[in-house]
Order: sequence, then C-alpha cells, then structure tokens
Amino acid sequence: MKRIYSDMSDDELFGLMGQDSHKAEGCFAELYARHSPRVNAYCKRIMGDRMAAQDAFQETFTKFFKSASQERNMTNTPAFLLRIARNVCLNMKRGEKKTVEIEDFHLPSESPAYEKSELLKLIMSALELVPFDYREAFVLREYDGLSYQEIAEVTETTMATVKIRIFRAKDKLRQILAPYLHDLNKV
Amino acid sequence: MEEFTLSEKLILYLDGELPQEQELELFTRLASSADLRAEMREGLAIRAAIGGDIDAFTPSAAQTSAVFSGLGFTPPYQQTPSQKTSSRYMWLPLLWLLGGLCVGGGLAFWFTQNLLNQEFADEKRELNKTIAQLQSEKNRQKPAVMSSMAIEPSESAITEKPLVKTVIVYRDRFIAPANQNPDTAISAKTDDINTQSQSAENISTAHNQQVYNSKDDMMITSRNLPSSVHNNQPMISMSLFPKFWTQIRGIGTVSQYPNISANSAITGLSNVNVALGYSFNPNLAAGIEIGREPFMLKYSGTVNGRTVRYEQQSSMLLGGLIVQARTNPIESFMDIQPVGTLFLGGSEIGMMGRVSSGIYYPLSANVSFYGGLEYSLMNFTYQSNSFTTQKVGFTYGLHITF
Repeated sequence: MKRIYSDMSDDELFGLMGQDSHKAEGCFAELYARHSPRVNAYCKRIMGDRMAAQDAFQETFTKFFKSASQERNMTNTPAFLLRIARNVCLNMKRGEKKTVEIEDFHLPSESPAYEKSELLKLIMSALELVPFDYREAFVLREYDGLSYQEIAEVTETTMATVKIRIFRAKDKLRQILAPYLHDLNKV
Repeated sequence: MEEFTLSEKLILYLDGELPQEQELELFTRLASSADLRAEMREGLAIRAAIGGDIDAFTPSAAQTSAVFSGLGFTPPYQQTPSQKTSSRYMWLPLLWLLGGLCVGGGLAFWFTQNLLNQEFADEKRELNKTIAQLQSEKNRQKPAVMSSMAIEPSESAITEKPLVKTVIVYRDRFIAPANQNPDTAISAKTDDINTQSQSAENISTAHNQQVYNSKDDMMITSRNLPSSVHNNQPMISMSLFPKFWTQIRGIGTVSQYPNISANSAITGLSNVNVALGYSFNPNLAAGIEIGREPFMLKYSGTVNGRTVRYEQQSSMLLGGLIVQARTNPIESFMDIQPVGTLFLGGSEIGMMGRVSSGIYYPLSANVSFYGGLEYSLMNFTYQSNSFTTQKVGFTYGLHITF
C-alpha cells in the first residue's frame, strides 16, 4: 500500500529526499511543514532583524535540502536543522554591519498584522538585552522546545553549560521584567 | 552531584529536567514559600506568552514561496487547512462543495418549478382568454374584414389603418417605437397572438426589428391585449425570452493580503467559474455556479502545544446558488445591462458568499461580455476554530443565452 508523506518519520523523509529526486519535492514539503515554525522562531528571535531573519531562514532550508544528498543517516532532524540555522545565523552575525540603515527607521521589526500581548512585547525587547549565548539557549529551550541535552548538541557544548546559560538567561529576563511581573503577581 | 538553588531547581522542574528524587523537596518548599510560588507563576507566565508568539512560529507566505522557488519547487499552496489537519479527513471538505451544489441546484429547481409557473400563470390565463375571444370575434366578423396579405407593408400601408399602433418587439424586451405614442391603440393580429403562444420564431426574433402584422386579417385594440402589454411588460417573454444561459468567467483577484509571489502560483484553470442559469424574466435569474478559485488563508493552530499561524494561498473548488438581478438594457449607452449577483454556497473548506456587480455588453444576439467587481467572504475551520477570509477582485467573462 502506498504510504503518504505525512505518515513517514523525519528520518525516512530525509533519506527519501536524498535518494529519489522524483519524491524529493514532496518529502521536502512535508519536512518543511513540520519544522519550519521552530526554525523561523529561532532565526527571528536570534537575529532580531526581520529581513536578516528571513534570509537566514531561507538559507537554512536551502542548505538542509542540499545536505540530503550527502548525509547518510539522520537521527534528529529538528536538531540538525537548528544546527544549520545556528551556523547560518552566526555567520550572518559575524558579517553584520554595525550601522543602522535608513529603512530600519521606517520598518517595524515585526509584522504589525499580529497582535502581541504586552508581556510578549516586553520579553522580545528584553531578549535583545540578553547576551547571545544565554539568549540562544533560552530560545532553543522556550521557542524550539529542545531538551537540555539537545541544546548541548546543537550548541556543541556541555549540559552543565546549557543549564548555566538557561538559568542566567531566565534570571536576566526576570530582572528586566521585574516591574511588570511584580504587577502580574499582584493580580 | 550538582547543587542548585531553589530557583534553579524550579527552572529545571518547569523544563522537565529536575530528577524525580528532588521533586519532593521542591514541592515542600513551594508549599511554604510565597516567593517561590510567585517565581513559578512568573516562569509560567513567560512561557505562556512565548507560546502565543505566533509571529515567531509563522513563516510568511512570501518566505515559504522564496524557499520553494529557490529550490525550483512549487510552493505548497494547494494544501487546504483541513488537508493539513489529517489526510484521513480529506473527504470532509468535499462535503461542503457537494452540499453547496445540492442546495444550489435544489433551490434553482424549486424556483423553476414553482416561482416561474406562479409568476406567469395569470398572464397565461389572460392570454388564453384573449386568444379565445379573438378567435370567436374573428369567426363572426370574417366577411367584413379586408383580406390584405402583404408581407411587408410600406409605411403608408400602416398609416392607412386608423387604429394601428406598430409594436416593436425587441429580443428580451417589449417597447413601442420611438416615433409613436405608446398610448395609442395597439395593432396585433389574431394569428400573431396565436403564434406567439406557440413559437418564438413567428414573432420577432431579431434585434431592433419592427414586427409588422400585415398578413393578418384583423385588428385588435389595446383593450384586447393582456395587461402585460399595457404595462410594457414582456408579454412575449413566455415564449421568446431566452430562458437558459451560461456564463464562463475568470477572476482577477485583489486579495485582502496582497502577496505577489503567492499569487503567481495561481494560474490557468485555478481561477475559472462556470454558471448555468435560468431567467425568470428580463430582470431576474437564478442558477448554479461551480468553479475553482484561490483564497488567501491566514489561520492559526496548535502544533506540539504551541500556537502556530499559517499563511497560504490555496485554489479550491467551490459551488453554490446564484441569484441575479438585472436592469433593462440602457439603449442610450451601447445597450449595456447592469447586473448584480449574489452567490451562496460552499468551497472545499467552508461556506462562502459573494456579491458582485457588473455589466453585460452585448456582442451579438446571444453573447454578451461580462465585467464587474466582486467581494467574497469565506468561513472555514481549522482545529475546531473558525476563521474567515475575504477578497475583492474584478471579474470578466462571457454570458451566453440559449
């Protein structure tokens, strides 16, 4: 009986994508549907800048597709995707100009079509004040839902370091958000 | 063994990373410490706020299009929300379409069978009565009637008849000639009226041609004609009016969410509708319409406990009932006919309605060009939540009567 892509595991889809060029598009579409939200979240919250995040997102999936013909075994597709996204974002950050372009004054950093809660807006602002390593660990945990072990793999560090980074990130956020969170507790 | 503070243990617990043997201690401290409970509330509030950050979790349609186009793939816009939900329920959306078609077809049939018959029942009775009167009168007066059989009388031949008012019969309508007073007596002939009730061919079928009743052997006055004639109503519509029509149209959509890269994927037969209708009179028609057209969908759902917003431009099947109201053609302006249409039905994923207004521009006796503007609204469901999408656009096509 013919299996449809939605019934296949990530690993099967990844394998098929590299082996069968006729099925590559379908496999890629399915993997994209499954994992694009978390990659998008990572790129947006790590890069901060909307246009840079979109570029990073596109490059991540392009590299992911191309890697299918090279990689033999895939055990953790989300972690693999986030590793690619991380490398892309780090490269872009390294090459980032420290100047502010004129358009930045006119373009909102986020789409105005979405309404955000006040707390969420504060979190996003606060996140930009958190050092990159802490922010990355926090985003991978809270946005991408990775376990500490997976975060350690993606960031190529130890579990202990991940824990420290997450503690510090959350502590830093709580400090910044303290006035608002204080009011929240009163309610 | 690592030593953590209570706050850190709380973070580990909330992240599912605290060893089970340390949970009891944390719970005990939570029960006794108001500060720790406040900390937990704050942590949960932050997590809940992040869970609602749908902007972060939503690649835009433009991003998706860029990724797929960059790899030489077609963006996956053909998926509908329900198809995304589960392939097991793919048949469900089709019910909307079939339901819309059944309801539309059923209503159209009911209109045809009931409303139409009622509308013309009185006129038919009156006409039959008139015909019967005329026939009996004809039989009585026959010796006294002149027997002119000229096929096409000259202008003077008509004016010789003192009570004659020439009737001009246009296809689709019925008016008096411009150079005659509509209040004067009307000339029609018994044979004509008989024929009118039998065949459209023997009256006037041509555009803008006068009908001369010269071969008839008797004249009647307006008193003898049905009330529809007095009221300038289309007496001949019962036999002459082109009742059935079909309309093929395309739609140039100006979506509520303009996205050029997404729209570029929607081409050809993804944006065509066909309607089949029945005209009750020159001003009212109804029928069914089926087609395929795209809608920009924005909706949110939950994936792995997180809220995700989707954006896609999907082309989908749709069908339903249309009701059309038209004015009379504007003779002074190229005979165009303003028309308004209401569509009610369903698409593959939900109920939809549409209002449109436009014009018919006659290209020939049976074919008109249609152009207009429309507004569509569709409701659909994803993960038990209801969403709506709307669009405005211009529409164009051909209207064919037969």
